[in-house]
Amino acid sequence: MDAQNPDDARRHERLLVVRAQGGDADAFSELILKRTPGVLAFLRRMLGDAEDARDVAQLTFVRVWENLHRYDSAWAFSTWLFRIAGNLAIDALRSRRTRSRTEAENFRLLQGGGAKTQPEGPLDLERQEVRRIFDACALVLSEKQRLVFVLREFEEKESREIAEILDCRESTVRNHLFQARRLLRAEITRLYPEFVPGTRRAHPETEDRKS
Amino acid sequence: MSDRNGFDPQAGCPELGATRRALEARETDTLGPLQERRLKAHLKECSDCAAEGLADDPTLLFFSLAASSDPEPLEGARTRSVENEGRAIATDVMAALEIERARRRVQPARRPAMLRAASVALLASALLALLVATGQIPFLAPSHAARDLQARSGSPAASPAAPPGPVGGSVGRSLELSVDDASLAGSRGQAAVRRPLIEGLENPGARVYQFASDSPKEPNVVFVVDRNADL
Repeated sequence: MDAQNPDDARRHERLLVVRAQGGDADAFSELILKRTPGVLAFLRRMLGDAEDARDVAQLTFVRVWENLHRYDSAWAFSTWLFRIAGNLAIDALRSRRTRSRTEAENFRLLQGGGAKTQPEGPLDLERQEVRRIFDACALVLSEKQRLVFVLREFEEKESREIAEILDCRESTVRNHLFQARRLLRAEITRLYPEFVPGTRRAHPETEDRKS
Repeated sequence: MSDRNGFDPQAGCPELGATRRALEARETDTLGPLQERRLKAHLKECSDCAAEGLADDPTLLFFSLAASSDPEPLEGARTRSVENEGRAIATDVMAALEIERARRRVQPARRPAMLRAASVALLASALLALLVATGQIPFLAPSHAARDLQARSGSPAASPAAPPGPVGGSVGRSLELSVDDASLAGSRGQAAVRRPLIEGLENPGARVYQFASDSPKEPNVVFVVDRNADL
């Protein structure tokens, strides 16, 4: 999306949507090309897995095509798109929960018990490391809490827009966000105390290694 | 000790107060998008404020995953990579939609066959009902059955109607009765066998057929056939 001319970009997108609603496959294809990066990034943050994110992204666009006739132009297209993607991501997370953890996943979590190298600043961590920490801690969240947290903190959407995506009230969004932060704080403190200043460390040998 | 400007190097970052206020506003969801971006940018650079913030809210650890923190990759590489990925997904999506369209084109062909079968069944039922109503189907025509039984039992035809009461008698015995007011009046004298009351039928030519039960516990069966009946 062209950040310099957002109005032009929106107008162009609206045109593409109208053409796609008329059955224009080329217009729909162009729509996918424009929206894929944002949708993929969102789904990667939601699901924590690139392959799953790709699968759900494909499914998202299939659903969009099948339901284009229901799309009301009074809504922003991105709101509608994120609603579909968010619901499918929740379904994927629920499906994942019912599957038992693999040994590889458990081993990965065990390896994440402490940072291998001491970062210079508290926030100076590799993004992949942070993503791994988030994936581990976010297991305590419900699907809705996770979705709200990702949309708020990672996609940086305002509560009003999140409420439109979830088709709920803003107070509900704030409640989900409050609960998500509370649960994540407790989980980070429990699993990764070394990243929380002032927390009594769970593993004393970590401090010995530093000195 | 503070200098003339009030800045105390021992107190840490001069923005600490503003950072705390921003963090409180974030907690109550009253921090605007621009202020939030400034807060994130500052926390990335200032370890004092970051430590303060993390101690209060460890979820600040995930700030680096925000979309606005996405690293700026090499232009050409990013463009190619993003385009390729988008193109691959678009190709897969359009292929999936084409498969779905082809599947839906095949399915409707089954419907005419089902409709034909349903129509044939409906016609057959209607024809059967018509044949039964007009007496074309032998097994349901009472006149034939009654005549057969009558022939076997030897009972007289056109006997007058009997007073009320169950019919006692042998199995299969039937009486063919032609009912009208006169025969009803005349029958009152015959009291030898109790027969069920048959309501007077106004139409001449109405025929009443009675199949007697072989025990008092079983019902008698009475057919009334009136071709001129207007129901």
